[in-house]
Amino acid sequence: MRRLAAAALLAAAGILAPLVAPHDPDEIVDVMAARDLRPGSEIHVIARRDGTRFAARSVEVTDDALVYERGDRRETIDRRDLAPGEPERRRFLLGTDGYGRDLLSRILYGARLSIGVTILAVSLGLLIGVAAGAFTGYVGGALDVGLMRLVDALHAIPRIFLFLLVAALFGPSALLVGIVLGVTGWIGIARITRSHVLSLRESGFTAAARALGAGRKRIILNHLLPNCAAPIAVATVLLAADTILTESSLSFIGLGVQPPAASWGSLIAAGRDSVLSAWWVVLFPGLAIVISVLLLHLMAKPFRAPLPFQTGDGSKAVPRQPS
Amino acid sequence: MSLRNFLVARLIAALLLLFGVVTLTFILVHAAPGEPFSAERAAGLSPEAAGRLRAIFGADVPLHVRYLRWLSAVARLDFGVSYAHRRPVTSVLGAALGPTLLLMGSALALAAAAGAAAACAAVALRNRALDRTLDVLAVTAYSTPSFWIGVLLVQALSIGLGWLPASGWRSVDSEGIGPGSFLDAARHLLLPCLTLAVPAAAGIAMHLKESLAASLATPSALAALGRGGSPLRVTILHLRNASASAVTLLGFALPGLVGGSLVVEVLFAWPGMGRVTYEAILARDLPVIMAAVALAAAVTVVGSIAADLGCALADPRVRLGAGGGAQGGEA
Repeated sequence: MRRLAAAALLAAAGILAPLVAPHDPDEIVDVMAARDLRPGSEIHVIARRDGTRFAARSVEVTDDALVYERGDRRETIDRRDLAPGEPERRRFLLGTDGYGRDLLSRILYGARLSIGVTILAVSLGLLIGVAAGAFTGYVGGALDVGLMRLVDALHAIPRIFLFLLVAALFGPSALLVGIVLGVTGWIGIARITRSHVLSLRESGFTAAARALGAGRKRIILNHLLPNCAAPIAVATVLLAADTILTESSLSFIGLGVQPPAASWGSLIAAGRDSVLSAWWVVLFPGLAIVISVLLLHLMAKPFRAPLPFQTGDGSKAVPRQPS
Repeated sequence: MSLRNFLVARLIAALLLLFGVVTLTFILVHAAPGEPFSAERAAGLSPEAAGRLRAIFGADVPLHVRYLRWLSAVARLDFGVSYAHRRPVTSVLGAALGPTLLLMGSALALAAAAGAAAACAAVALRNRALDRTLDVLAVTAYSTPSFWIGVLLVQALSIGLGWLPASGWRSVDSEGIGPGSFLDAARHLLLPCLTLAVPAAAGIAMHLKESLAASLATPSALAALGRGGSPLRVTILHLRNASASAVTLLGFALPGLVGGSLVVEVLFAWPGMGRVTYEAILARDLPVIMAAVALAAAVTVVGSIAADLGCALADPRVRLGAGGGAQGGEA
């Protein structure tokens, strides 16, 4: 339950990114003065009368001038050259990236994007997978055999290669990532649904429903599917985890979300050459991926997921050492 | 089902599958907007010259003719000429297959060894703290994107400490075959291999631990423990019984691994299939991409047949079936 609450909190932060994010994720004020700032640092955004802006490390207001520190120099600007109002103080909780953009805001907007792609992929996968698995599992026969062959066939195509082919043809985008991952991701859900429908089909309550005159549609929707909800939910959660990982990988190599939009994968790609001087640019988006995927895996764990968590606590099965 | 019948049935299924993949790629490619040599046209190539280019590359005949030509060419393992490299696709991808198989094979071996060692330690040593730590480590590693591990490893070990090369698969000055070039190749291999192996090892460890624990609860293991066998020894002796399901999992995880190796190859400039495909995409080099998808599917199918065989070798109780391979029950 705590895991679910934590996941819901993170998802809410991502979805509500425009409200939660402290700054505009794409705004570049002053690259020279604001880039690669450590987590927790602060800048002052000073607006000139002509509308241009720059950033300073610290400001001191005197009667008719403003003394500010920019880089390693101390400079003075006349009050008359300034736009009215005080310089704006900005704090960057997780630091800034190579263009001086707020990393926390970019991570939050990246989360929003990841959530969007995941919802698209998971709903596509769930829709196709449950429909195909439940129907063919219940009806059986040649249709069932055919579907299983198709599932085996689709499973053998590494989905990243398939995505690359489609990306090369239609141009890479976040939307395409979601669609391809959904259209390729349904097979796991179809397998699970089918295997449970197959066993439930022979159960007493199905026979009873059939004897009472329930039709095929009613039996599948009202009697079989509610009883497969738990395994389907687990498969869905694992599909979501896989989607986040794959989307970030694709964005990392530049074939997913296109700039300037922020994605966790592209954030890491942008900071990969300056890890030694600006570790936070790579560290925090990576942690965001690990934490989200970990939460999803942990959510699936207690429900005896098919892969790779076979049981909850394996150590219980170990016999005690004879004493 | 006998081994021979199993192999024949699986190979037929594999051929049908590859036929499907080849057809699917053909449909996708021809359903997409844009046409070949549009970049050259934009760069100022005359329509006549573009027409000659289209004729040279066989892009000027009706669709069904192209499909039949494509099928018969693929059957002869002729995937045409790469638009970007201007040499046969087979030679472009053939040169890339070796590095990919080397990287994936070594990563698989490393992952299997590390995963098995971790699972044995967790089950046999009966140390609750160690067991918990390994659990947490495994699920975390399994949730970590390999490219992130790769970026951090490169920065720490190559750029920071300067111990290992950051990209490529051999140094420029390394020529021929000898102990020196072998060491050079091994040094280049280490980082990408490690990057690819960490999440895979975590998956193997988690799965193997479950089946090890189950097989240690069997009467044979209890008897061995009762006779005074040390837990570690009994665990290792039961590794073979437990490994069947892990081998199945490996076969099942293979498509993911092939896909994951693509990102790692791009990251480390490893001259394998993944990187060649990636570059082909940037250049819209369709013949190479179409062949790469087919080749990736072929590698996966061969791998899954090998996994089923390995499963039967590890556990003689496993019956080989035609469709679902060695898996019993739900997949």
